[in-house]
Amino acid sequence: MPDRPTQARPRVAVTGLGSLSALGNDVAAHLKGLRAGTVGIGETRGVDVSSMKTKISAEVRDFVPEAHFEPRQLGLLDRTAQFAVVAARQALADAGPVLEGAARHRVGAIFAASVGSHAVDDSYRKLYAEGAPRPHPFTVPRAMPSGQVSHITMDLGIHGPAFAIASACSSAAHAIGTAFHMVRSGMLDVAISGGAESQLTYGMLKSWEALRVLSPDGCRPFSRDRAGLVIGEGAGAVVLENMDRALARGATIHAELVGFGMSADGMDITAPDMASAAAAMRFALEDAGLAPEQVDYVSAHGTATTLNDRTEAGALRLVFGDHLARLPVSSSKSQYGHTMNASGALDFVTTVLALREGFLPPTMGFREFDPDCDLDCVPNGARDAAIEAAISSSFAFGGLNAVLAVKRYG
Amino acid sequence: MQTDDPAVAEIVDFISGEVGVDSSLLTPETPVSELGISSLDLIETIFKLESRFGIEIPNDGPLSGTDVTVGTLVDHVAELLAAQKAKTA
Repeated sequence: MPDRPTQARPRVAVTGLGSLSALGNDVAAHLKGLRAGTVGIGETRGVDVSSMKTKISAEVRDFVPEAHFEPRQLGLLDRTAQFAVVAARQALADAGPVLEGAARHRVGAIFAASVGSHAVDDSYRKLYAEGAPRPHPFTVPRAMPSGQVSHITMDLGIHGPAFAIASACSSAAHAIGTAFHMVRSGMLDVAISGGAESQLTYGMLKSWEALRVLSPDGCRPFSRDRAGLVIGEGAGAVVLENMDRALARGATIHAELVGFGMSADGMDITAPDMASAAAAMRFALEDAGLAPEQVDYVSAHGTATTLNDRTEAGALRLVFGDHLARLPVSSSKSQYGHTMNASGALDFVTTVLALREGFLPPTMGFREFDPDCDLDCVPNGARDAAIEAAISSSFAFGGLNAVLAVKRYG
Repeated sequence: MQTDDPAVAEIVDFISGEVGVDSSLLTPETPVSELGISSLDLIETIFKLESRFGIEIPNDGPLSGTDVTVGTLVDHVAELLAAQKAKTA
């Protein structure tokens, strides 16, 4: 691997991974599910969906909060924050003694900003529907979108820069990209980053249903008969570390984060723009010093709405041209649903695992070729493949785009 | 799209008022997108039609595509309205 002069710009290693998803409650289970083509989508259990058209979601199953937190803590932790802290703990444990010897102000935490939907839903129901005189006293700290990152700093003992970033479904990708910039600039030695989300509440499910983008019968990205997205919940977390430091302490390096590209459509609050999505991918490749032909895998945004997938396929064609015929592009949302503000982190963890383990995660549920999505979407089963470089794309509602580029290390 | 049907005329007038387009431009074959009605505007218009006429417009009906015409929209609402009236009659 050609080395850039490290004194010019630090390189950034991914030394820790954490995840909770409909595929399982840790990275090992997530990896196993990805490889096996497991579909974590099923009938929603955690919410009464009897009055809804959409009965399915991708839930985190068998998550026992009491196994991770003291009862006193739980009053302050929305389900989203519980996921965030657990995923961050996993990533930190995976990274080994990464905080040993680190200066307090040179370790940061940058996470996706996610509203504590359960806190809002529970409290407002009591207030409006049940006539309670007041909501739960911790509604505000549980609901605030920076709550997760605050809890992570308290739980892990982080004292450097810490904040939350909001860009809808790109939030976690923007968070990881920002953390990447902070390590690469030399400001931080270590950053814990990612995102968590659980919008599986009665109010949010009804709201998504009203927006008419939910599929009633499964997530089928890039398939001609795709019918919309499936709401998921979960969290992804990573430890990013100055490469020299990681090497000096003998850390396991899962991958090297090499590029980050961003753009804004500036057009529509829901409909995506092809040229702008393409620009974000190009910027990520330029930042990484990668030619399009060097990319071996794309983890797509791939929500399985008619418009997203068609636009994304067009954007990929603009960036990769003829190389697209040889470039696998898949959407893991077909396996663990659309986890919204967590999706950029979960997809990034998925991409790093694919690269490290040498396989292409599948697009499950694929039934019918769509000429508007002329892609090798790795239909209905993972495949072994050596991946040297990959990108992970997030194209959010409101036209906020973030793309991360990673390379195999060693 | 029977424009001389008072029920249809009422639907057309309502849509015209909601989207700010003169009702003379709401011809059956005109794609709603050509009237400056984005997919998002259409979702909101559907929601308002549901509230105004007390009907439920299903997600998987003829309005779920991206090439909806004025005729498709108006006729679908008129059909749902007629079905509801028949049920309550």
